[in-house]
Amino acid sequence: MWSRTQTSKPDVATVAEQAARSGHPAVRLESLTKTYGSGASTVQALKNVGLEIWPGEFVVLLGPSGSGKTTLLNIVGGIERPTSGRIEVAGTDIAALDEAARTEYRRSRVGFVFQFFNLVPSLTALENVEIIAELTGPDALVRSRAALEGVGLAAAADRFPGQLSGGQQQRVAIARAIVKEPPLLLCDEPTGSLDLEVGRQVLEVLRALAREGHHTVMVVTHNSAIAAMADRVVWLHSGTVSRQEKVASPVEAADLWW
Amino acid sequence: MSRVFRAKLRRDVWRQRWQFAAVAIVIALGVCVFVAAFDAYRNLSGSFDRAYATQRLPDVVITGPGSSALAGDVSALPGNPVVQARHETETGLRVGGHTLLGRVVGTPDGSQPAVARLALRTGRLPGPGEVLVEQHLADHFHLRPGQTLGLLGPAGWQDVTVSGTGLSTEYFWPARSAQEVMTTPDYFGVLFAPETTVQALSPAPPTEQLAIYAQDRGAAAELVKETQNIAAAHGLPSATRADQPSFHALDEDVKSIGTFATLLPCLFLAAAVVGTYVLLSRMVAAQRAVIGTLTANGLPPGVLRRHYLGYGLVAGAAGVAPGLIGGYVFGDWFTTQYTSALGLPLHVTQLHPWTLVIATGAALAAACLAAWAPARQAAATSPAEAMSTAPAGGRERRSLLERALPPLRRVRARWRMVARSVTRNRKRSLLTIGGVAVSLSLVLVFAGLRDTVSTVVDRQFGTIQRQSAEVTTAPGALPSVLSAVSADPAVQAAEPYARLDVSLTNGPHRFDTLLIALRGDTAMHRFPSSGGIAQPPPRGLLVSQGVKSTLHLSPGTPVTITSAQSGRSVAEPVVGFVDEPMSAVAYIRLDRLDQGLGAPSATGILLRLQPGADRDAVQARISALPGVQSYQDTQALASAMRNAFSLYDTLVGIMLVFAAVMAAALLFNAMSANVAERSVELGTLRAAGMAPGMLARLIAVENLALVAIGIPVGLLTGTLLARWLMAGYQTQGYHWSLQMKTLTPVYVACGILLAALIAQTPVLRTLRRIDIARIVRERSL
Repeated sequence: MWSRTQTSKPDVATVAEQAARSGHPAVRLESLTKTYGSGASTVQALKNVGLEIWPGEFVVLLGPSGSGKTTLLNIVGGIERPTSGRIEVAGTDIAALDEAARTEYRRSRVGFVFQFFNLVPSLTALENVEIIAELTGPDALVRSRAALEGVGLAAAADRFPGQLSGGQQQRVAIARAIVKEPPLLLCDEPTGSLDLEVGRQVLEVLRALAREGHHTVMVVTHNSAIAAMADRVVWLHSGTVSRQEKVASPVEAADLWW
Repeated sequence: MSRVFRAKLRRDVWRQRWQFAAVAIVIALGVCVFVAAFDAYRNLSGSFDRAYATQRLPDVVITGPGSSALAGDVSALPGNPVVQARHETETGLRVGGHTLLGRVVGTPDGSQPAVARLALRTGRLPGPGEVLVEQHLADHFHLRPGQTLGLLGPAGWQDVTVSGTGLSTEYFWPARSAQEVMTTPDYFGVLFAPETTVQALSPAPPTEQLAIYAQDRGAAAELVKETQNIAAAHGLPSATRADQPSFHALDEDVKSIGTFATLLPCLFLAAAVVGTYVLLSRMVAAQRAVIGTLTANGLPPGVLRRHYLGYGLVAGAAGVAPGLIGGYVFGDWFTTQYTSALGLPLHVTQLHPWTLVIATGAALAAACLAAWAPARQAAATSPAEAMSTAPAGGRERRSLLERALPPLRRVRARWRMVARSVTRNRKRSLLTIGGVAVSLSLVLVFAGLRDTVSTVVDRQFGTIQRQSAEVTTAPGALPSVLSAVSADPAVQAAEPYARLDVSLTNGPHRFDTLLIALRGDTAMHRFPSSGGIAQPPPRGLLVSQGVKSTLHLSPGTPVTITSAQSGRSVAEPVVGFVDEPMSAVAYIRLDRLDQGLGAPSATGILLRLQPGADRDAVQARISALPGVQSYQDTQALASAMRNAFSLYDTLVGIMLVFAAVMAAALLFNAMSANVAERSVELGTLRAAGMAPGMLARLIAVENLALVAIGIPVGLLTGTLLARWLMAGYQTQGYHWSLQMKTLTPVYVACGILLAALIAQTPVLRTLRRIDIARIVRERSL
């Protein structure tokens, strides 16, 4: 259970490896339902969804608008609560957590990457990472520099978002997401605002994060071309998982085309 | 405006109804203050004008022996003048067991005077052996027709019967003189009696006067000028309405209300402009994409401009109606309270349509002015810019504070974000700071005036005047009274003094004032700023700063002193100047008094009581002594002055509430715009695990930083404004400068800070309830 007080940073790699050896999924969804509104204006965004995501997997969630993929991501990320069902992350049902515990969960277990980057324009690239690093332990500056270096932006540390390209901004957003070394990295249309070349670069970074085994990456997209680089693809339609497919030979991001 | 645009306007206003309400409140306050103050100003002016016309307040009064004889000459002047000769005297008055100084003004036997008529409240005009009691005195002692009073005449105390009570325009404010504007009914009261009674009461010839009123009001100024020439030609002083203590005091009061009627609404409407601009500029920024789409589809810029101006009009209109109603009610209340306190027989409270028109126009103009820039920006938005997703580049940088103090770059990133966010939208930040400064200035002006009055009274009656009481004696009774007073065990010290009505002249410059004669070794008075002179000089005069500037005096200037009673004159050089904020008088040594002025050597006694003495008991004992005309307790007088200015306390309280509401409304709007503009980045921080409490603290500190910057600005501007207003009090020889107490700015600043904290509450609550899922998917604008 995640407590309100800041706990010591978990050894995420150990958790992922242990989960994989022991056969425990990183994320397990059971009979997950999400309903908005009431009466005549009820919308069922998710209907009885069941799904398992394994540690270190790079999973792409595909589906048309309104299929429920973003809702699913929000629930896994602790931003929204399901109407019913169970969602286990590392053995704990996060659907049962209160608001404070969900905040702590997001702080220590989840990293987000959004379509429009969502950087703080008055902070430099380094500071945008640092402001999150400060929430999760000491040496925030050191860790932030390392995260920026990890996405290849060490040289741009002192630039403001307005002075960065779209791809660079998204990479800063990725560095911000991973600086706290979350087991889960949730990406909502990470290439939606980027052109092909830059999009490939961003996807390459995300793939590397999963491949090294430190992070379980879930990418929501409507761009089916990205599915080719995934470990597994989950299709959603009208709030249900219509099918899942393991990708036998995931391609490199550089080989993608859309 | 098309149906669709009207619907958009309605729904946008409803969606941001609290922000629009905040602006409307500030506009309403401005309209309310304007209508209340302006209507009070016009109603009071109207009330006084009506009373002065009905009762024929004299346009000019000639005083001195032989003034009555000028009636014929004056009657022939233009202006269709009405003249009334009269006498007046001051003597002891006994009401129950209470002895005070009574001024008895002569009237025709049983009929109204032609000038300075009396408004009867009870009873009838006095006949032989009767007096009409001025209403303030009657109210204080509950006097009614048929009751008996005692008047001290040459043969001792004689009873007179109260024929009635009434009001005189010359004593709406019952001041004894221009230098003794503040008196208490326990010390001084006015009676009206037939001329024969006045003559019988005075051991010496009573003061002779000729009162003149111009029936042709258009020629009043010319009549006054000609009358003064006649008086001067006969060596007699004359006093116009402006010199009349009651008229002057009340006129100054009404004029100050008029000043506030102009100043205060400007402050409120300036704040309303700030609030409206912040609200609408944020709205235009948030709707940039929509605007770009509309212009891309060919919508004329003029339509957009009118549409966004419409938001300003809505905010203005929403504030006007409650402001007009509130202003009318408040103004009526104020006028009623004021005239009731004065006992005015009639008051005018009518609706002035032009006030409403001006208030409405000003409010709508202010709102439109505020909306103009955002509306113009909307109309000038290019479609390409509006649909761009790239944030504006190159403008963000480290804050001034960080650049000035590099170690600040090592504070936590979240605090660096706060520091930079303060100047992120410079215009909005500056306007918010300005709004806080305006709010603070508003309160500080009134608080400063209140502090000044309080300090001045404390100084006058604590530091300068050292006596516990002043006793006025009947002619010839002083030695026996002084002996008895000195022997009283409760009296620590007693000394004789004199008080004379005089004119001081330096060449063409003349000033009517009091000459106070004190013993050379007086312990009853301190002389501040007199260039080292601690006592009345052996020769010459000490004059107050007010007299110095009025008569253009410098040390050594010879001044002619003319007694109002005897008409005799003597010359004395000016030796020094004293800084006395509440008295524009001249001081002379007592033993120089009888050299040429034909005045008695002393007219009264100043006494100081033993510490802990029973003041009421002493007053009763000394008042009962034969020959005592009046007993003025200095503490009672000081209290009366403080009470008279207690209206300032009420006004400070009202302004504090208004200013707090204004500051809260402005800050609420600025904060709402701030949070709305940054909702995406704030939502992202929440999504990343920043606790809502921490985020709220960051935003709160950011907003309080603006308040903290606005406070010293407001303290400075408020102090300067108060100083400027106080300068207007330098009339009738009074010299006041702003005397703000040390803690007053602290209290006012704390009040504004509290308003800021309260204003934050709804916005911070919104922040806690932010819909993270929705926000993080929005485009930043």
